Amino acid sequence: MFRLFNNFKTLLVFCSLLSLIAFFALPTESRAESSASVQGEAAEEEATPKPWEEEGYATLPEPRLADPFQPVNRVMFAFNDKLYLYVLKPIGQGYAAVFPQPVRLGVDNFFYNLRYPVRFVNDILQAKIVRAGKETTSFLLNTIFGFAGLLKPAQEVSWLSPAPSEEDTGQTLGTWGFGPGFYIVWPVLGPSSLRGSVGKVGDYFLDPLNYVEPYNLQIGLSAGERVNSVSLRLGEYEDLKEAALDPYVAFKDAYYQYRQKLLEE
Amino acid sequence: MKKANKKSFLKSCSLLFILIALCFSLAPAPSWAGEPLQILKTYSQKVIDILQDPQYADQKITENQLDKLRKLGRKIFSFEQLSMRTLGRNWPKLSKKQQEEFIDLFPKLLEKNYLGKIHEYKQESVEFTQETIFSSRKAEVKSLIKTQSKQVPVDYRLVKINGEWKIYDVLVEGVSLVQNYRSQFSEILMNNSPQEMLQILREKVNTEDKG
Repeated sequence: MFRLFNNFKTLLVFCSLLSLIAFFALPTESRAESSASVQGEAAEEEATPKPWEEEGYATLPEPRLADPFQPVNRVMFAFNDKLYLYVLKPIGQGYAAVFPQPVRLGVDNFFYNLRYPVRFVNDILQAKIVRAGKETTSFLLNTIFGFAGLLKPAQEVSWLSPAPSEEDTGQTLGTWGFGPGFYIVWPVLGPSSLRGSVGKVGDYFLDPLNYVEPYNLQIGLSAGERVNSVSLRLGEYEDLKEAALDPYVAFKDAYYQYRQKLLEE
Repeated sequence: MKKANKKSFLKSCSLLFILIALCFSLAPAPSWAGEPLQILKTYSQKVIDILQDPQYADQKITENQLDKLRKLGRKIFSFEQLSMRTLGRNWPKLSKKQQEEFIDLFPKLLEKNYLGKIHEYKQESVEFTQETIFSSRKAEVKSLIKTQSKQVPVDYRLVKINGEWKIYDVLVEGVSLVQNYRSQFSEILMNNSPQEMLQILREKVNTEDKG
């Protein structure tokens, strides 16, 4: 599988995907919007306070992340919901019953540490040099003194704590001026955007996990990471869904806001 | 990396949840208005005191504690501001009476969703990290909730009303509660009248908790 992705043809496909996203996603309306809200903030002081009109709250066509494929996305959302409730969650619960939390946290840390190249390369691509330095220092400390990343001794160093937010290829594309395009809910993988999806392809090549041979082992590790991750977050998805009036819209908005925030950092 | 993406998304979602929990950490209004960060600190301590009340140590949470938290919440939040901002430009489409009902119902939904789970956060520590005063009547306070496995940034937006700072929005990992609900309400109001929207909200508030 790794070889398959390693050939020239795949690179070509990736490049054409990139130009596709450029074509669809270039106008960055969100930028214009955020600068408008800053101006609004300044002007708002003198104006009669109408709280419902403040801070861009008045912008009515709300979906700031276009969603032209909503019917398909809703089906995918429902599919992922069932997948979580009937497959991932029970497995996660069983797994959590066997392994105590400190072990699972260690596994989580290990995979986080392993993905250092994704963060480092994207820091560099965004010219975030200090951040790249922090990531590198943390990686070395955690790998050497933290048993290959099972522990996070770097968090004890005040310069390195809290850990900088994780950079990925989707954010790099955003920094370069690509807009998010539109919302996509992938089966199994979950919420994304056009930009985020292209970013994931980039991340795929940067993630050491995807260079593990044989392929079966790689699949096993990926699945293990997913289950481990789920076991540490049992109940979170349910709580959020429970709190929502329209879970599909709630998750779409949360995805958008969260990615916007990462992009700004 | 795909998994990381999904994971951080879930993480951010969980933050939204935690943020509200934290929100209910406000204290009775002091006769003088202090600075936003100091006020939030005081209220947060009160919440912790209520949650860790030794007389209820062996129970998850009691009705008595919930009542106290509810009262605190109503002091530190301006649910009127929060409600107006949640509907945004749709706000004036509601009649006066409908607006009043919304201001009554919406906080109940929040209380139902978040207050009931607040005891899960009783052992976590909160650190208030930064205060930004935007103007004479707008401020933001940043905080960090530290759990065993992660640190969750929770930001509070405050507005000064009648000389008192009140919370009108909470952001967990950058996800604004008000904005999240606004996106849902505007979707609902695209296909429903305000009256129907209120009915949906009423039903949601009155549904029995599954947990």
